[in-house]
Amino acid sequence: MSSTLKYIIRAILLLLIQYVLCTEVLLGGYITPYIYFLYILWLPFTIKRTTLLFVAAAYGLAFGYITQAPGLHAAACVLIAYLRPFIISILLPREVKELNYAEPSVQSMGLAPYSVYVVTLTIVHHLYLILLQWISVSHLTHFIVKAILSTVVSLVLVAITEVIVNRTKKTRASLQ
Amino acid sequence: MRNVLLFFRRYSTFFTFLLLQIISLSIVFKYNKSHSALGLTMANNVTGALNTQYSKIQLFLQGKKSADSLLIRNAELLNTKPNNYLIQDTSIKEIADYIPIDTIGNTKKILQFIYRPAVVIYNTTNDDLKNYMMLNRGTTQGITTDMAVIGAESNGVVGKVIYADANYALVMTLLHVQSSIPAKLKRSSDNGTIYWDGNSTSTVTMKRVPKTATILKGDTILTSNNSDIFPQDLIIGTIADFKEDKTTGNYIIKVKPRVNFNHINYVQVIENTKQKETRTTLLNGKKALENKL
Repeated sequence: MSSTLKYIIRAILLLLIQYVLCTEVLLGGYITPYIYFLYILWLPFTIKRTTLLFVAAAYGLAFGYITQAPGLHAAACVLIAYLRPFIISILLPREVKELNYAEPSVQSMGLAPYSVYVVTLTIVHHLYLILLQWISVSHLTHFIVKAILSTVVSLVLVAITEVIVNRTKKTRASLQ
Repeated sequence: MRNVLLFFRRYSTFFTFLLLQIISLSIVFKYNKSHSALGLTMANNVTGALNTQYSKIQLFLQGKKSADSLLIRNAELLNTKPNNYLIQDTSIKEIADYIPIDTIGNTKKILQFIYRPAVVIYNTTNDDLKNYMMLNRGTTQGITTDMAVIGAESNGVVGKVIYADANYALVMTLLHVQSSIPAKLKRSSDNGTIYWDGNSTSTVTMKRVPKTATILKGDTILTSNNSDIFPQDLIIGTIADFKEDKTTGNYIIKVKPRVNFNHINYVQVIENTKQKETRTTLLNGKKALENKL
Protein backbone atom coordinates (compact mmCIF):
# COMPACT_ATOMS: atom_id res chain seq x y z
CA MET A 1 0.00 0.00 0.00
CA SER A 2 1.39 3.38 -0.93
CA SER A 3 2.04 5.69 1.99
CA THR A 4 -0.14 8.49 0.57
CA LEU A 5 -3.13 6.15 0.48
CA LYS A 6 -2.31 5.06 4.04
CA TYR A 7 -2.37 8.65 5.26
CA ILE A 8 -5.67 9.41 3.48
CA ILE A 9 -7.35 6.35 5.02
CA ARG A 10 -5.95 7.32 8.41
CA ALA A 11 -7.40 10.84 8.03
CA ILE A 12 -10.87 9.51 7.18
CA LEU A 13 -10.85 7.01 10.06
CA LEU A 14 -9.76 9.60 12.62
CA LEU A 15 -12.41 12.08 11.40
CA LEU A 16 -15.16 9.45 11.69
CA ILE A 17 -14.04 8.39 15.18
CA GLN A 18 -13.89 12.02 16.29
CA TYR A 19 -17.36 12.65 14.85
CA VAL A 20 -18.76 9.80 16.96
CA LEU A 21 -16.93 11.16 20.02
CA CYS A 22 -18.38 14.63 19.44
CA THR A 23 -21.96 13.49 19.07
CA GLU A 24 -22.09 10.66 21.58
CA VAL A 25 -19.73 11.53 24.43
CA LEU A 26 -21.06 14.02 26.96
CA LEU A 27 -19.04 14.09 30.15
CA GLY A 28 -20.69 16.34 32.72
CA GLY A 29 -22.70 17.95 29.95
CA TYR A 30 -20.00 19.92 28.20
CA ILE A 31 -16.62 18.21 27.89
CA THR A 32 -15.69 17.06 24.41
CA PRO A 33 -12.54 14.97 24.11
CA TYR A 34 -10.50 15.52 20.93
CA ILE A 35 -8.19 13.00 19.33
CA TYR A 36 -8.49 13.97 15.66
CA PHE A 37 -5.35 16.15 15.80
CA LEU A 38 -3.22 13.00 16.35
CA TYR A 39 -3.24 12.82 12.55
CA ILE A 40 -1.01 15.88 12.39
CA LEU A 41 1.30 14.55 15.12
CA TRP A 42 1.65 11.26 13.21
CA LEU A 43 2.66 12.72 9.84
CA PRO A 44 6.17 11.67 8.74
CA PHE A 45 9.34 13.46 9.85
CA THR A 46 10.38 14.16 6.28
CA ILE A 47 7.25 16.11 5.24
CA LYS A 48 8.01 19.64 4.03
CA ARG A 49 6.97 22.34 6.48
CA THR A 50 4.79 24.24 4.01
CA THR A 51 3.09 21.01 2.90
CA LEU A 52 2.49 20.16 6.55
CA LEU A 53 0.72 23.51 7.08
CA PHE A 54 -1.55 23.03 4.07
CA VAL A 55 -2.40 19.46 5.02
CA ALA A 56 -3.28 20.64 8.55
CA ALA A 57 -5.47 23.46 7.23
CA ALA A 58 -7.38 21.15 4.87
CA TYR A 59 -7.81 18.51 7.56
CA GLY A 60 -9.04 21.04 10.14
CA LEU A 61 -11.47 22.61 7.67
CA ALA A 62 -12.90 19.21 6.78
CA PHE A 63 -13.52 18.47 10.45
CA GLY A 64 -14.96 21.95 11.00
CA TYR A 65 -17.56 21.47 8.29
CA ILE A 66 -18.61 18.12 9.72
CA THR A 67 -19.26 19.65 13.15
CA GLN A 68 -20.82 22.82 11.66
CA ALA A 69 -18.21 25.12 13.18
CA PRO A 70 -15.88 25.74 10.22
CA GLY A 71 -12.55 27.47 10.77
CA LEU A 72 -12.10 26.88 14.50
CA HIS A 73 -10.36 23.53 14.20
CA ALA A 74 -8.47 24.59 11.08
CA ALA A 75 -6.87 27.47 13.02
CA ALA A 76 -5.86 25.17 15.88
CA CYS A 77 -4.51 22.49 13.51
CA VAL A 78 -2.43 25.00 11.58
CA LEU A 79 -0.97 26.28 14.84
CA ILE A 80 0.18 22.87 16.05
CA ALA A 81 1.44 22.00 12.56
CA TYR A 82 3.54 25.17 12.67
CA LEU A 83 4.95 24.38 16.14
CA ARG A 84 5.56 20.68 15.45
CA PRO A 85 8.98 20.95 13.71
CA PHE A 86 10.32 23.25 16.45
CA ILE A 87 9.35 20.85 19.21
CA ILE A 88 10.76 17.85 17.35
CA SER A 89 14.06 19.60 16.75
CA ILE A 90 14.31 20.54 20.44
CA LEU A 91 13.52 16.99 21.57
CA LEU A 92 15.56 14.99 19.05
CA PRO A 93 18.98 15.32 17.44
CA ARG A 94 18.67 15.52 13.67
CA GLU A 95 20.40 12.25 12.75
CA VAL A 96 18.26 10.05 14.97
CA LYS A 97 14.91 11.08 13.58
CA GLU A 98 15.85 11.35 9.91
CA LEU A 99 17.84 8.18 9.61
CA ASN A 100 15.93 5.66 11.62
CA TYR A 101 12.15 6.03 11.55
CA ALA A 102 9.43 7.35 9.27
CA GLU A 103 7.14 9.12 11.72
CA PRO A 104 6.97 10.21 15.40
CA SER A 105 6.07 7.38 17.76
CA VAL A 106 7.17 5.89 21.07
CA GLN A 107 9.60 3.59 19.21
CA SER A 108 11.19 6.32 17.16
CA MET A 109 11.52 9.00 19.84
CA GLY A 110 11.51 7.13 23.14
CA LEU A 111 8.74 7.27 25.71
CA ALA A 112 9.69 10.47 27.54
CA PRO A 113 10.39 12.76 24.53
CA TYR A 114 7.31 11.45 22.71
CA SER A 115 5.11 12.10 25.76
CA VAL A 116 6.43 15.65 26.05
CA TYR A 117 5.78 16.13 22.32
CA VAL A 118 2.17 14.90 22.50
CA VAL A 119 1.27 16.59 25.78
CA THR A 120 2.66 19.98 24.72
CA LEU A 121 0.86 20.00 21.39
CA THR A 122 -2.37 18.71 22.95
CA ILE A 123 -2.37 21.52 25.49
CA VAL A 124 -1.56 24.13 22.83
CA HIS A 125 -4.33 22.79 20.58
CA HIS A 126 -6.96 22.84 23.33
CA LEU A 127 -6.00 26.23 24.72
CA TYR A 128 -6.08 27.84 21.29
CA LEU A 129 -9.37 26.19 20.32
CA ILE A 130 -10.99 27.26 23.56
CA LEU A 131 -9.52 30.75 23.36
CA LEU A 132 -11.14 31.15 19.94
CA GLN A 133 -14.47 29.89 21.25
CA TRP A 134 -14.18 32.33 24.13
CA ILE A 135 -13.48 35.27 21.83
CA SER A 136 -16.41 34.44 19.62
CA VAL A 137 -19.01 34.00 22.38
CA SER A 138 -17.31 35.39 25.55
CA HIS A 139 -18.00 33.27 28.59
CA LEU A 140 -14.61 33.08 30.29
CA THR A 141 -14.90 30.91 33.43
CA HIS A 142 -16.98 28.37 31.55
CA PHE A 143 -14.24 27.97 28.94
CA ILE A 144 -11.30 27.85 31.36
CA VAL A 145 -12.87 24.96 33.26
CA LYS A 146 -13.76 23.38 29.97
CA ALA A 147 -10.21 23.79 28.63
CA ILE A 148 -8.64 22.04 31.60
CA LEU A 149 -11.15 19.19 31.77
CA SER A 150 -11.19 18.57 27.99
CA THR A 151 -7.39 18.52 27.88
CA VAL A 152 -7.20 15.94 30.66
CA VAL A 153 -9.86 13.70 29.09
CA SER A 154 -8.31 14.06 25.63
CA LEU A 155 -4.86 13.09 26.95
CA VAL A 156 -6.28 9.96 28.52
CA LEU A 157 -7.93 9.09 25.20
CA VAL A 158 -4.71 9.84 23.29
CA ALA A 159 -2.80 7.48 25.59
CA ILE A 160 -5.41 4.76 25.01
CA THR A 161 -5.21 5.34 21.24
CA GLU A 162 -1.42 5.02 21.33
CA VAL A 163 -1.72 1.69 23.09
CA ILE A 164 -4.46 0.34 20.79
CA VAL A 165 -3.19 1.52 17.40
CA ASN A 166 -0.31 -0.61 16.21
CA ARG A 167 1.50 1.63 13.75
CA THR A 168 4.10 -0.01 11.58
CA LYS A 169 7.43 0.02 13.32
CA LYS A 170 9.41 -0.22 10.10
CA THR A 171 12.63 1.70 10.02
CA ARG A 172 13.32 3.99 7.11
CA ALA A 173 16.11 1.68 6.03
CA SER A 174 13.75 -1.25 5.58
CA LEU A 175 11.35 0.86 3.50
CA GLN A 176 13.92 1.47 0.81
CA MET B 1 14.50 44.24 -4.01
CA ARG B 2 16.55 41.09 -4.02
CA ASN B 3 16.85 41.30 -0.26
CA VAL B 4 13.10 41.59 0.13
CA LEU B 5 12.61 38.49 -2.00
CA LEU B 6 15.25 36.64 -0.01
CA PHE B 7 13.53 37.70 3.20
CA PHE B 8 10.22 36.28 2.02
CA ARG B 9 11.89 33.08 0.88
CA ARG B 10 13.71 32.65 4.15
CA TYR B 11 10.52 33.01 6.18
CA SER B 12 8.15 31.40 3.67
CA THR B 13 6.91 28.85 6.23
CA PHE B 14 6.03 31.57 8.70
CA PHE B 15 4.14 33.55 6.09
CA THR B 16 2.22 30.45 4.98
CA PHE B 17 1.35 29.92 8.63
CA LEU B 18 0.10 33.50 9.01
CA LEU B 19 -1.90 33.30 5.78
CA LEU B 20 -3.61 30.04 6.78
CA GLN B 21 -4.38 31.39 10.26
CA ILE B 22 -5.98 34.49 8.78
CA ILE B 23 -8.08 32.41 6.38
CA SER B 24 -9.26 30.09 9.17
CA LEU B 25 -10.09 32.94 11.54
CA SER B 26 -11.99 34.86 8.89
CA ILE B 27 -14.10 31.74 8.28
CA VAL B 28 -14.73 31.47 12.03
CA PHE B 29 -15.89 35.04 12.42
CA LYS B 30 -17.84 35.18 9.19
CA TYR B 31 -19.76 32.10 10.28
CA ASN B 32 -20.23 33.44 13.76
CA LYS B 33 -21.58 36.82 12.76
CA SER B 34 -24.84 35.60 11.33
CA HIS B 35 -25.83 33.30 14.12
CA SER B 36 -28.70 31.52 12.46
CA ALA B 37 -27.96 29.43 9.44
CA LEU B 38 -25.30 30.83 7.20
CA GLY B 39 -23.48 27.51 6.82
CA LEU B 40 -26.36 25.83 5.05
CA THR B 41 -24.70 26.01 1.68
CA MET B 42 -22.67 23.64 -0.41
CA ALA B 43 -20.70 22.16 2.46
CA ASN B 44 -23.91 21.27 4.19
CA ASN B 45 -25.10 19.17 1.29
CA VAL B 46 -22.05 16.97 1.82
CA THR B 47 -22.16 16.88 5.62
CA GLY B 48 -25.95 16.60 5.48
CA ALA B 49 -25.55 13.34 3.57
CA LEU B 50 -23.02 12.10 6.15
CA ASN B 51 -25.31 13.08 9.01
CA THR B 52 -28.24 11.30 7.38
CA GLN B 53 -26.28 8.06 7.13
CA TYR B 54 -25.08 8.40 10.71
CA SER B 55 -28.58 9.04 12.04
CA LYS B 56 -29.76 5.91 10.24
CA ILE B 57 -27.31 3.85 12.31
CA GLN B 58 -28.34 5.72 15.45
CA LEU B 59 -32.04 5.13 14.70
CA PHE B 60 -31.35 1.45 14.15
CA LEU B 61 -29.59 1.18 17.49
CA GLN B 62 -32.29 3.07 19.38
CA GLY B 63 -35.09 1.73 17.22
CA LYS B 64 -36.94 -0.40 19.70
CA LYS B 65 -37.25 2.26 22.39
CA SER B 66 -38.49 4.83 19.91
CA ALA B 67 -40.94 2.40 18.34
CA ASP B 68 -42.45 1.59 21.74
CA SER B 69 -43.04 5.20 22.63
CA LEU B 70 -44.45 5.86 19.15
CA LEU B 71 -46.95 3.06 19.69
CA ILE B 72 -48.06 4.64 22.96
CA ARG B 73 -48.36 8.04 21.30
CA ASN B 74 -50.33 6.51 18.45
CA ALA B 75 -52.72 4.87 20.86
CA GLU B 76 -53.24 8.19 22.62
CA LEU B 77 -54.12 9.86 19.34
CA LEU B 78 -56.43 7.05 18.23
CA ASN B 79 -58.32 7.49 21.50
CA THR B 80 -59.17 11.05 20.55
CA LYS B 81 -60.73 10.08 17.20
CA PRO B 82 -64.20 11.62 16.97
CA ASN B 83 -65.94 8.37 15.95
CA ASN B 84 -64.94 6.86 19.30
CA TYR B 85 -67.59 9.03 20.87
CA LEU B 86 -71.36 9.01 20.71
CA ILE B 87 -73.18 12.25 20.16
CA GLN B 88 -75.62 12.77 23.02
CA ASP B 89 -77.30 16.00 22.07
CA THR B 90 -78.67 16.08 18.53
CA SER B 91 -79.45 19.78 18.41
CA ILE B 92 -75.78 20.93 18.41
CA LYS B 93 -73.31 19.34 16.04
CA GLU B 94 -69.58 19.88 15.75
CA ILE B 95 -67.92 19.86 12.38
CA ALA B 96 -64.18 19.92 12.02
CA ASP B 97 -63.51 21.61 8.71
CA TYR B 98 -60.70 23.33 6.88
CA ILE B 99 -63.15 25.62 5.09
CA PRO B 100 -64.38 28.51 7.20
CA ILE B 101 -67.75 28.62 5.51
CA ASP B 102 -70.88 27.84 7.40
CA THR B 103 -74.17 27.82 5.56
CA ILE B 104 -76.56 25.98 7.84
CA GLY B 105 -75.75 27.42 11.21
CA ASN B 106 -73.70 24.62 12.66
CA THR B 107 -71.02 25.27 15.28
CA LYS B 108 -67.91 25.36 13.16
CA LYS B 109 -64.29 24.75 14.01
CA ILE B 110 -61.28 26.08 12.14
CA LEU B 111 -58.08 24.14 12.30
CA GLN B 112 -55.48 26.52 13.75
CA PHE B 113 -52.54 24.24 14.48
CA ILE B 114 -51.28 21.59 12.08
CA TYR B 115 -48.93 18.89 13.39
CA ARG B 116 -46.37 17.35 11.05
CA PRO B 117 -44.00 14.57 12.12
CA ALA B 118 -40.28 14.79 11.29
CA VAL B 119 -37.12 12.79 11.95
CA VAL B 120 -34.08 14.40 13.60
CA ILE B 121 -31.00 13.79 11.45
CA TYR B 122 -28.54 15.98 13.32
CA ASN B 123 -28.69 17.26 16.87
CA THR B 124 -26.04 18.90 19.04
CA THR B 125 -26.08 19.36 22.78
CA ASN B 126 -22.48 20.26 23.44
CA ASP B 127 -21.66 22.86 20.81
CA ASP B 128 -20.83 25.78 23.01
CA LEU B 129 -23.88 27.89 23.74
CA LYS B 130 -25.43 27.38 20.31
CA ASN B 131 -27.22 24.11 19.75
CA TYR B 132 -29.11 23.28 16.60
CA MET B 133 -31.12 20.35 15.33
CA MET B 134 -31.65 19.41 11.70
CA LEU B 135 -34.88 17.81 10.48
CA ASN B 136 -35.46 15.73 7.36
CA ARG B 137 -38.33 17.96 6.24
CA GLY B 138 -38.25 21.34 4.52
CA THR B 139 -40.36 23.79 2.58
CA THR B 140 -41.40 21.07 0.10
CA GLN B 141 -43.12 19.28 2.98
CA GLY B 142 -44.69 22.49 4.30
CA ILE B 143 -42.16 23.45 6.95
CA THR B 144 -41.13 27.09 7.08
CA THR B 145 -39.42 29.36 9.59
CA ASP B 146 -41.12 30.31 12.88
CA MET B 147 -42.87 27.02 13.47
CA ALA B 148 -42.88 25.35 16.87
CA VAL B 149 -41.15 22.00 17.41
CA ILE B 150 -42.08 19.51 20.15
CA GLY B 151 -40.70 16.07 20.96
CA ALA B 152 -42.84 13.26 19.57
CA GLU B 153 -42.19 10.99 22.52
CA SER B 154 -42.52 13.39 25.43
CA ASN B 155 -44.61 16.22 23.90
CA GLY B 156 -42.28 18.75 25.53
CA VAL B 157 -41.15 21.93 23.78
CA VAL B 158 -37.94 21.47 21.75
CA GLY B 159 -37.49 24.81 20.00
CA LYS B 160 -38.48 26.64 16.85
CA VAL B 161 -37.58 26.39 13.17
CA ILE B 162 -35.19 29.17 12.17
CA TYR B 163 -34.34 28.13 8.62
CA ALA B 164 -35.82 25.81 6.02
CA ASP B 165 -34.38 24.65 2.71
CA ALA B 166 -36.23 22.54 0.16
CA ASN B 167 -35.67 19.29 2.06
CA TYR B 168 -34.02 20.14 5.38
CA ALA B 169 -34.96 22.47 8.20
CA LEU B 170 -32.80 23.85 11.00
CA VAL B 171 -34.22 24.16 14.51
CA MET B 172 -32.88 26.41 17.28
CA THR B 173 -33.38 24.30 20.41
CA LEU B 174 -34.02 25.53 23.96
CA LEU B 175 -30.28 24.98 24.52
CA HIS B 176 -29.27 28.08 22.58
CA VAL B 177 -28.29 31.37 24.21
CA GLN B 178 -30.42 33.34 21.78
CA SER B 179 -33.56 31.31 22.36
CA SER B 180 -36.37 32.96 24.33
CA ILE B 181 -39.80 31.41 24.76
CA PRO B 182 -42.81 32.99 26.50
CA ALA B 183 -43.93 30.73 29.33
CA LYS B 184 -46.26 30.64 32.30
CA LEU B 185 -46.66 28.79 35.59
CA LYS B 186 -49.43 26.24 35.47
CA ARG B 187 -50.38 26.89 39.12
CA SER B 188 -50.92 30.64 38.95
CA SER B 189 -50.71 31.52 35.23
CA ASP B 190 -47.96 34.04 35.96
CA ASN B 191 -46.01 34.88 32.82
CA GLY B 192 -42.26 34.67 32.33
CA THR B 193 -39.69 33.91 29.66
CA ILE B 194 -37.51 30.84 29.18
CA TYR B 195 -33.82 31.39 28.40
CA TRP B 196 -30.69 29.24 28.52
CA ASP B 197 -27.61 30.42 30.40
CA GLY B 198 -25.29 27.97 28.64
CA ASN B 199 -24.07 26.16 31.72
CA SER B 200 -25.87 22.84 31.86
CA THR B 201 -27.76 20.93 29.20
CA SER B 202 -30.22 19.61 31.77
CA THR B 203 -31.66 22.94 32.97
CA VAL B 204 -33.01 26.11 31.39
CA THR B 205 -33.82 29.37 33.20
CA MET B 206 -37.16 31.14 33.54
CA LYS B 207 -36.91 34.86 34.24
CA ARG B 208 -39.27 37.82 34.76
CA VAL B 209 -41.68 35.97 37.05
CA PRO B 210 -43.06 38.53 39.54
CA LYS B 211 -42.42 38.00 43.25
CA THR B 212 -46.15 37.79 43.93
CA ALA B 213 -46.37 34.40 42.24
CA THR B 214 -46.68 31.24 44.34
CA ILE B 215 -43.96 28.78 43.40
CA LEU B 216 -43.28 25.25 44.53
CA LYS B 217 -40.58 22.84 43.40
CA GLY B 218 -41.97 20.38 40.87
CA ASP B 219 -44.55 22.80 39.46
CA THR B 220 -45.23 22.54 35.73
CA ILE B 221 -44.18 25.26 33.29
CA LEU B 222 -46.33 25.67 30.16
CA THR B 223 -46.09 27.84 27.06
CA SER B 224 -48.14 31.03 27.42
CA ASN B 225 -50.58 32.67 25.02
CA ASN B 226 -48.01 35.41 24.51
CA SER B 227 -46.61 33.85 21.34
CA ASP B 228 -47.75 33.41 17.76
CA ILE B 229 -45.43 30.43 17.30
CA PHE B 230 -46.24 28.10 20.19
CA PRO B 231 -49.79 26.92 20.93
CA GLN B 232 -50.90 27.55 24.50
CA ASP B 233 -50.34 25.00 27.28
CA LEU B 234 -47.55 22.90 25.76
CA ILE B 235 -45.38 21.46 28.51
CA ILE B 236 -41.90 22.96 28.74
CA GLY B 237 -40.74 21.30 31.96
CA THR B 238 -40.87 21.29 35.74
CA ILE B 239 -39.34 23.58 38.36
CA ALA B 240 -36.08 22.17 39.71
CA ASP B 241 -35.04 25.13 41.84
CA PHE B 242 -35.78 28.84 42.29
CA LYS B 243 -34.37 31.92 43.95
CA GLU B 244 -35.16 35.59 44.23
CA ASP B 245 -33.27 38.15 42.19
CA LYS B 246 -32.39 40.91 44.69
CA THR B 247 -31.91 43.59 42.04
CA THR B 248 -35.21 43.22 40.21
CA GLY B 249 -37.38 41.58 42.83
CA ASN B 250 -38.34 38.89 40.35
CA TYR B 251 -37.86 35.15 40.63
CA ILE B 252 -35.15 33.26 38.75
CA ILE B 253 -36.40 29.74 38.22
CA LYS B 254 -34.35 26.74 37.13
CA VAL B 255 -36.50 24.55 34.91
CA LYS B 256 -35.83 20.92 34.02
CA PRO B 257 -37.02 20.49 30.42
CA ARG B 258 -39.47 17.69 29.69
CA VAL B 259 -37.47 16.73 26.58
CA ASN B 260 -34.20 14.84 26.98
CA PHE B 261 -32.09 16.63 24.39
CA ASN B 262 -29.45 13.91 24.37
CA HIS B 263 -31.85 11.32 22.97
CA ILE B 264 -34.37 12.74 20.59
CA ASN B 265 -35.17 11.06 17.30
CA TYR B 266 -38.69 12.09 16.32
CA VAL B 267 -40.38 15.47 16.61
CA GLN B 268 -43.67 17.09 15.65
CA VAL B 269 -43.54 20.44 13.86
CA ILE B 270 -46.52 22.69 14.60
CA GLU B 271 -47.76 25.23 12.11
CA ASN B 272 -49.91 28.12 13.28
CA THR B 273 -52.18 28.81 10.30
CA LYS B 274 -53.20 32.16 11.79
CA GLN B 275 -49.65 33.43 12.30
CA LYS B 276 -49.52 35.70 9.26
CA GLU B 277 -52.95 37.13 10.02
CA THR B 278 -52.16 37.98 13.65
CA ARG B 279 -48.86 39.55 12.66
CA THR B 280 -50.51 41.77 10.05
CA THR B 281 -53.19 42.77 12.55
CA LEU B 282 -50.53 43.75 15.08
CA LEU B 283 -48.57 45.74 12.51
CA ASN B 284 -51.60 47.54 11.07
CA GLY B 285 -52.96 48.23 14.53
CA LYS B 286 -49.74 49.91 15.60
CA LYS B 287 -49.63 51.92 12.36
CA ALA B 288 -53.24 53.07 12.83
CA LEU B 289 -52.48 54.18 16.39
CA GLU B 290 -49.38 56.12 15.29
CA ASN B 291 -51.34 57.87 12.56
CA LYS B 292 -53.94 58.97 15.07
CA LEU B 293 -51.37 60.47 17.45
